[in-house]
Amino acid sequence: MKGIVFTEYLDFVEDNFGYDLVDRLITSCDLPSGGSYTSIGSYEFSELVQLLTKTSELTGKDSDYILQKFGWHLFGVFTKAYPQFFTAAKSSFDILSTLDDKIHPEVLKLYPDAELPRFEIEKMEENVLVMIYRSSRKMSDFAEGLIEASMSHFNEKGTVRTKQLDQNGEVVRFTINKTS
Amino acid sequence: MEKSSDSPSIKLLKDKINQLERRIERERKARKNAEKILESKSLQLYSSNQTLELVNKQLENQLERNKQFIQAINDFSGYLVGKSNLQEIASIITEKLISKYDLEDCTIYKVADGYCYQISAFGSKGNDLNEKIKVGDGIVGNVAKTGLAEILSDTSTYNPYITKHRDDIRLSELAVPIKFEESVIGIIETGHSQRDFFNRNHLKTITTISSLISVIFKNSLTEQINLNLESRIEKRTEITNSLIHNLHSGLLLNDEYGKIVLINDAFRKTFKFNIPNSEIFGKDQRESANLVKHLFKNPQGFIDIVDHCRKHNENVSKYELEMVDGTILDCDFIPIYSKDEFVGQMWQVTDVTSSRAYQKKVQASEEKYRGIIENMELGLLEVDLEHRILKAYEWFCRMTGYDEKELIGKDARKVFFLDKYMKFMDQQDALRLKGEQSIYEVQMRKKNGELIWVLISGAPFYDQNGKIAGTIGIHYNIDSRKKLEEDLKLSKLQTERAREAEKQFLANMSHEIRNPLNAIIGITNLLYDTKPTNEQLNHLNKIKYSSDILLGLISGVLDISKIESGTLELTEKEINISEVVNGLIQIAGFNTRDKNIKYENKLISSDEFKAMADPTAINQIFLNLLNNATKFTEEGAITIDGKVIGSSRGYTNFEFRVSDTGIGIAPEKLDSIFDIFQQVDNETKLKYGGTGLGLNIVKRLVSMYGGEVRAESKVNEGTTIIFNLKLKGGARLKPIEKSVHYEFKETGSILVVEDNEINQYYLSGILNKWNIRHDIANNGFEALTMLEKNKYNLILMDIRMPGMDGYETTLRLRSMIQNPNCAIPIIALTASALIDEREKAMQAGMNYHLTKPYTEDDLGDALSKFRIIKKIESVETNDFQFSPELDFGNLGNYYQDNIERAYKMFQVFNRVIDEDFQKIKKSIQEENWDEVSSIAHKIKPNFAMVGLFDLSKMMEYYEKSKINIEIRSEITLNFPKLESDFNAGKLIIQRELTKMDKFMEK
Repeated sequence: MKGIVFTEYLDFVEDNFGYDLVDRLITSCDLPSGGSYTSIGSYEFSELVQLLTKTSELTGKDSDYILQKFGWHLFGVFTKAYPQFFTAAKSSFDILSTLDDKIHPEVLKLYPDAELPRFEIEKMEENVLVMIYRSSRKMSDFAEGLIEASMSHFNEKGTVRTKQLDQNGEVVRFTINKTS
Repeated sequence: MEKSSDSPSIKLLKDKINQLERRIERERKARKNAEKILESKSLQLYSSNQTLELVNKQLENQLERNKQFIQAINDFSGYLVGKSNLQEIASIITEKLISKYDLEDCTIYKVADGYCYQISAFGSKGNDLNEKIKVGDGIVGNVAKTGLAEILSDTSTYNPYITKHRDDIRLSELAVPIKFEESVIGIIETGHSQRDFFNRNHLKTITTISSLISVIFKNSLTEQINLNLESRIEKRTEITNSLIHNLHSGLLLNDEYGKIVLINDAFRKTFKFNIPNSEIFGKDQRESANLVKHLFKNPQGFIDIVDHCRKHNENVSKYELEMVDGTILDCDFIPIYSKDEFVGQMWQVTDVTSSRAYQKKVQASEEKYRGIIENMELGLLEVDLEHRILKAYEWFCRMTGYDEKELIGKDARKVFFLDKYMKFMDQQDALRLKGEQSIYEVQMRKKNGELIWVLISGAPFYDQNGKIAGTIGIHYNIDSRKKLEEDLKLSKLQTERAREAEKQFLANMSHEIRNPLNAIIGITNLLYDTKPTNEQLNHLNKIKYSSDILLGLISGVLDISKIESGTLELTEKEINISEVVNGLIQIAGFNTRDKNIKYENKLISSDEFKAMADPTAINQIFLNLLNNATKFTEEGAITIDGKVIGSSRGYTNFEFRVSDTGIGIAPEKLDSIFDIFQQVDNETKLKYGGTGLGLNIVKRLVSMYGGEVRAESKVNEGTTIIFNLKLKGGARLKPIEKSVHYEFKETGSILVVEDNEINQYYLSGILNKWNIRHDIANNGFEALTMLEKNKYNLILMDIRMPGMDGYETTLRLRSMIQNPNCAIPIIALTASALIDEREKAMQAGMNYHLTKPYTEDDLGDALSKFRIIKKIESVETNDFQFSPELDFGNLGNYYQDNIERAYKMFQVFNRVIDEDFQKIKKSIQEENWDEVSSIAHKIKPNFAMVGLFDLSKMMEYYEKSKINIEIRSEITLNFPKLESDFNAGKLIIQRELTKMDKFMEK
């Protein structure tokens, strides 16, 4: 998994809970990398799972919730780091509906070894977008955070409903309704 | 540790410091990590940059070269603008090329007539316009030959061409072809003092220049060619002349005046001219002909054809002339016109001796083969696709009595075949068109009208293009064979008839013998009563024994021959088999009273064994079996048993067993005991006597009743004969209703003489019912008065009447000779059946006698005896009986007793079958076998459902025509028969429908 996810996760934890928690996470988890992450490196996905679980344990917050919030956080990072993806877009749907076709191929150009989820568009109307999330990482909550953040980015209001379509959470349907 | 001494705030601080240290350490590690990653990334970047630079440089070089090339081409184009003179252009190019590339030399050649001629040369090599290089020689010649540019990089180490310039200072050479429409018309050749000087760029530039100038080059060359045209025509003429001279056929040309203007070598050779051409040319062609006519077998014929051709001036081709030396010439004569003007004639003679010889050989071999066939007495006939006779061979002509000349061009079908074969012949034609051959037997008509049977093997023959052109038929006269076959049939028939006659004779003879034999037996019996002496008794016994045996034998022969000749007709009467057996047992018991045999009839004397059958035949069966059993049984029991084992449609199948406790029969002899004149063995015959016919008669009679007979036996234990009879009626015999009615003949009337009013009334009733006109007289007096007045046809006369009784009245009438009623029949009506009363009536002159109380039928019978009325009797059962022409057994099974259902089925069949049948007929004509098969499949059960089982079977056969090609022609051939069967079947069905209709009305 790309290092940026890890550095940004620790930043996200530090932002929300202070470096104390970051320190405790690193010292109490058994991390092969030792917790010294650089955004251009690559690390085991299991380290993120450990960190996430520990965060939930130490803060008493749901890991789903944490992931969702992390999604929000990362969206902010993306807009700053890769503004080229966002300038042309006029709404969140412009971004979300083109993840598979446009954004992810670009990401793969920069990080050929990046493992990305797939987003199939089931239906797209002016105010409704239905898409299927597929990833062996089972991080649909994270995706949900990203979706919400992208709507917020374009000052849009609305609801995001999720429906898990399999037993493991590898396939999830998002139904996004914009109200404004 | 100083844990306890540290204040909480200090501890907090310390923790913070530790934490920070850890953070810094992590950051540092992360940075180092990142640096490492970045370093390897930048190394990758560097190397890919290097590659990119290289690629870039190459691209730049290429660009530069292209630029140079374009520049060069531009320059040369500029030089060439407005120039059209080849020489000038060549000079410019050679010069400019030298200066541009600092070449050693540059030369331009034109290519023509197999050589490369120098046009322009510059440089060290010097200008030598006479230089001429043969195509294929050196680099120039080679490029001219191949049309491919060539570079020699280092002539000091490699030069495949023998060069004239051995002191050549050119180390590199380049030669490029100038092409126009794929042919090489010139070469640009250059040389350079450096090794490896010429690269692809030079090649490209010079090749482009070559294509730029190729059109100019071509045009200037063409001008030159035009200059040469005249000399070329001359040359062409030369060629033509040489061609004519070298031709294998001899040619002679004469002008319009008949003067010879040309003869070729072959012509000279053919006619053995040894005088020079100069002496022949100008001579008259007719004169020359005279000079050579002696060479021909028919000199005058040769002169005639020459004259004919000259005179008529028309195309003659392939006129065959034979020369004295055996040479055969094909002669063509062709008049020559130039723009509609007659300018002369051409004679062409071709020696065809060898090809004729070959043709003759082929012909000979063909004739040989045909000769063989003809020698085998096979007639060959060739016809084209329209049956027109192309060739009729000798034997065929002999067979049919025609001359070949009479037959050629005639329609073989019309000449030889009867109309009935045309359809069949069409089929044969169809086969032939498919390239198939076939063999068939037909009758052919000879010239004298006689019909002969021939076996024809027809096969297609092909024209030279491999297309079927007609049929060749080999005809074999099988008339004698056919006649023989017919003779055979006839003699077989005659034999059969003779056999028939023999049987008849036997039957008659037996009958004739039996009469005197009966007399012998009767008289012998009478002699027994004449108190004979012992010796006489002994003789009588022997006579009796012998005549009994003889009678049995004769009777057996008679029965068998009756059965065999089919003259034994089984009558039908209602009999009770149980009673028949009872009667026989009584006789048998009487005959064997000296033996200890008990006879037992287990057939319960009830209605169960009542059936309709011929009493004599049934009697005979049981009698023979009982006799047989009795003969071989000394003591014990003979048992007759029976039961019903089945019934169908009014017939009952009975099984009977006749068992004895006699000597028995060995198993191996069991099978043959029913054969004619077959007894178990000779010993048996000696001991037990008999004719050996009894069981055979049983077998034959049983089989006439659809039954079978077999025997079961154990030696010394006894024998059981088991047989079955299928008899009409039987246990389930439906009551038979006899309906009788009488029709009165429309002539005259009856006189009833009767005193009793009740009796009058009864008689009147019957007679009225029968529409018989009658008058009634109350007594004899009245009767005589009425007989005076009226004419009657018959009198019904009561006997006992007051006043004048019946006798007296009859006597009086019979004596009135003048009365027209004098002799009319008189039926006496008497109350008693006493014989003497009847006799008295007859004596008084009455003719017949009815005893009171008489029934209607009795009266009817009596009246019909005197033809007063006609008795019509019809017997009907309650069951509907299908016509025996139909498969009524199966019909019974199909419909049980449901006649309504059968009626509906028959109606449907009658309605729809025609259409289907027409369809199948059409399909057969069109040879659409898929359709034939499918219709046959469809209607097969229809026929079965109405009992036309044979037609149904035929449809089953037809159904196979789809896959079985062989049966098709047979189907087509036999279809008329099927059609007539079908029509007959339909009539039966219609009749049956009417019958059912009437039946159901009741």
